[in-house]
Amino acid sequence: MPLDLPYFFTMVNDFEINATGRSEDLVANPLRYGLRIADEPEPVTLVIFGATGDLTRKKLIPALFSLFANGNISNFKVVGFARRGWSEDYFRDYVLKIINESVLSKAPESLKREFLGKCFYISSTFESEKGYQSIKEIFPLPKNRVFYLATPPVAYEKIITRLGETGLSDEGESKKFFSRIIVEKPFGNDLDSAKRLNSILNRYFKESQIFRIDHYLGKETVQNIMVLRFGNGIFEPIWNNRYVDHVQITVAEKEGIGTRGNYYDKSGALRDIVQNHMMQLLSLVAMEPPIDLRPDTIRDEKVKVLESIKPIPFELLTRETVRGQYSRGIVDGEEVPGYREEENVSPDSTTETFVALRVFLDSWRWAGVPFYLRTGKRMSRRITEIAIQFKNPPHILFREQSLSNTIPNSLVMRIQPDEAVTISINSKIPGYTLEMRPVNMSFRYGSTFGEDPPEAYERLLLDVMNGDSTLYTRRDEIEASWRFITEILEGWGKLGERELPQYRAGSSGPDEAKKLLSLEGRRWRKL
Amino acid sequence: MNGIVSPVEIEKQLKLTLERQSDKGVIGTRTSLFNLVIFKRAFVPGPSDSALDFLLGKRPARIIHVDCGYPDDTRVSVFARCYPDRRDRTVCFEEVLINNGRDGKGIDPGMWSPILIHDLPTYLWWLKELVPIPEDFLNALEYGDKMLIYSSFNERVYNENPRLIFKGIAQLIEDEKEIPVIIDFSWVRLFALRKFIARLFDERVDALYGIREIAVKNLQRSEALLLFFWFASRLDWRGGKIDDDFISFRDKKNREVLLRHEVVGSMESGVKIDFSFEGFPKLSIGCDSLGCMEEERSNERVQFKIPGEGEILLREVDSLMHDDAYYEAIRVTLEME
Repeated sequence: MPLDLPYFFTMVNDFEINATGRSEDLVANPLRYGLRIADEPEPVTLVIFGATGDLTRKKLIPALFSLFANGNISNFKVVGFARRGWSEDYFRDYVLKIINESVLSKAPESLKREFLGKCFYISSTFESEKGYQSIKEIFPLPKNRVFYLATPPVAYEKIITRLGETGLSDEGESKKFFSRIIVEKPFGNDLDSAKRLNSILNRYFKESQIFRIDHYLGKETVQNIMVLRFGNGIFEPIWNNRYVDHVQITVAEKEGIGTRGNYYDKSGALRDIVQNHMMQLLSLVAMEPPIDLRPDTIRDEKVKVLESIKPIPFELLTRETVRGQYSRGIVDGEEVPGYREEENVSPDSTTETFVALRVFLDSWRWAGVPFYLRTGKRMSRRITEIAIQFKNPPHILFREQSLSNTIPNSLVMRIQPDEAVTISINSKIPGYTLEMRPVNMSFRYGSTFGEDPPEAYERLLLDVMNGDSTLYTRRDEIEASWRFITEILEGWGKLGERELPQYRAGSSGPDEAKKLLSLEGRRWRKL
Repeated sequence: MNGIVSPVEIEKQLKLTLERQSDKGVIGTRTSLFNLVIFKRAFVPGPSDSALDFLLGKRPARIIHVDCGYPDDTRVSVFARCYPDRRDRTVCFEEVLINNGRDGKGIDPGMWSPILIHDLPTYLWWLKELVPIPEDFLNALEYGDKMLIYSSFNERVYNENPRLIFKGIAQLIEDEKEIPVIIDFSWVRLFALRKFIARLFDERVDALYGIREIAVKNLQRSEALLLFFWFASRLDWRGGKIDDDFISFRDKKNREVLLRHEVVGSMESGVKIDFSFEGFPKLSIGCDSLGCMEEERSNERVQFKIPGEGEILLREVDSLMHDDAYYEAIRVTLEME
């Protein structure tokens, strides 16, 4: 693969000096005029807690090497921090193996060697103060630090506390250097635990230092939702309850839970997907236009959406929500076990692997418009998409000719796979009669640009180093989302095994989910 | 296919050519994103081939080559180049080669404009002479959304005086309000250097107003001039005079500023710039493949990446923006003696 080293820096944090050559960010330097400069990250030490785990192997090391190989970062250290008694050399061999198995495996050996020279390892438990002291002593520079919690959530509190106690969270009075922390999902498992985790974080870190990651927001197509809505003039005027009949958000996976039984059986689809990824998609699709692109301006608008979600009380639970659990079935031609037969899953588990919700937003724009959310494992197809279903024309002129053959217009934003935006319209079929049929106008990312977008983690890591929190979730977003989710979880807890239909692996979910829409004369989009 | 043919026939041949390419085990062909018309001298090696090689596989496009200087009558041929990506989809160039012959028909917009894909952005890349601005250049502008030029190529290959190139373009921009965006590859190549210099003065903005002399080694003349004109436009220097050895301006306090281009060379071989100030210590910087640095702080290097022509082309066909700083820099030539 050719290694294209970009010379233009990303537009992240760009500022453009106005015509007078002045900017609030700078002492007026007339040479800056017209130079779109994204400030390269300052020198930084990135400490990865859980450096021997899956996330580091699959995402973090490949992303960091890609950023380095593309010239986005140059002055940095990566410090792996984990329990295993590895030596530095062993860790570097491990990192090299990861690079050699990544898409950048063909990068020049000299580049790989240079990257390895920036990798270090501390073998320590997460409790031991000594390990944290050695971060300070062995790696005093770069003094800017980013701590990545790539560990199971159970370790978060210990690590955060130790970072605070050893002064590693301090940015100093003058703030000449930074200390930032990235917290992976799951961020809590209900509202109380999320609040508690936020409190622990806030004990030692200010909100501006905390970066709660949701890798969905790093995906190019998720970012494109805002561009599509606010970068084009034709959509916003119809993006409201006057023209939109309903919205469907689908995150369907073909995979089962794999080796994640221990985690998943305590979590379930509502916590694993809806609370974070789907709530983020919902807020991006329903938010009001922000007045600018500053992180907090955007997040202010997103949190308004989350706070406007109508709660689903227990008495409405079975009407507005459907959960399900996959049973044995066939996926991609292969027989797969049912959920309760999976490794590390209780045989009488009531954990949901499928969720469908009908959600309403208490807002002027969206009053009366249902948002249907569905996610599931072991579905017939892997697909993530948002479909805006528009209302029929107020007067159906062609009723007799083609009523059965037409569909309401829809705009579908497919997030993965084959990222695309498709608008379906009705068109006349060539011939002497006035017959109509639906046709699609499609824009496919992969069919338009020949380049693969950067991996989500690359963008997100670069943003942290640059201090840009736009694509990270803020405390109030997390808590608003958990507030809605926790009420459902508590209701399901009361229901126990009741109302937990099974669905065949390889299907599109339980029949009950279909009723959620069919009672209103609507139906789910085909998977 | 040889000889002059109708646009309909060209479209038919392009379709057939693409179909033949798409039969080679690939899944689907991407739709063209833009038109690119390249005007160049036949038999003169230029940067367009390697730049297109870089673009291939990244952006699908219709490319029209207008090669001038053929001894026979104008001829047209079509071909296509496709490149499969990781997902086995092809990114193709539909290409039309117009050999502009002694009849001059090939460069006439009436020949190539009907082959442009309607409603797509059209980029023009002029690799022919620019001094004085040719009639064909002006005729082409009407059909483009952006015109790309490459002043250091013209300096090197046609031995044109870069100041006259800039003056011609600046005058055109001044006179014609409806012309498309004009971008110079040489200006874009200076991006990293300008960025480094701009950052350097963040900490010493006052020194900018005390500049007495700038000496540059290892740039093409056109690049050095663009750098000097950039300083002049940003710092409001006036009364420019140009000589073989140096350029001078008067700063806002009417003091003389000398700009020397001491060694003509390629940016790739390492640029060195010395600044002398009134009231501030001298400053020397160097930029080479290892990065840019102040000589006083040689252990602090920042990355210095000179974009290749392909990278510049890719960037420019993704944008229709113009660069005010460039326009203002070359406008300096309009007031020079």
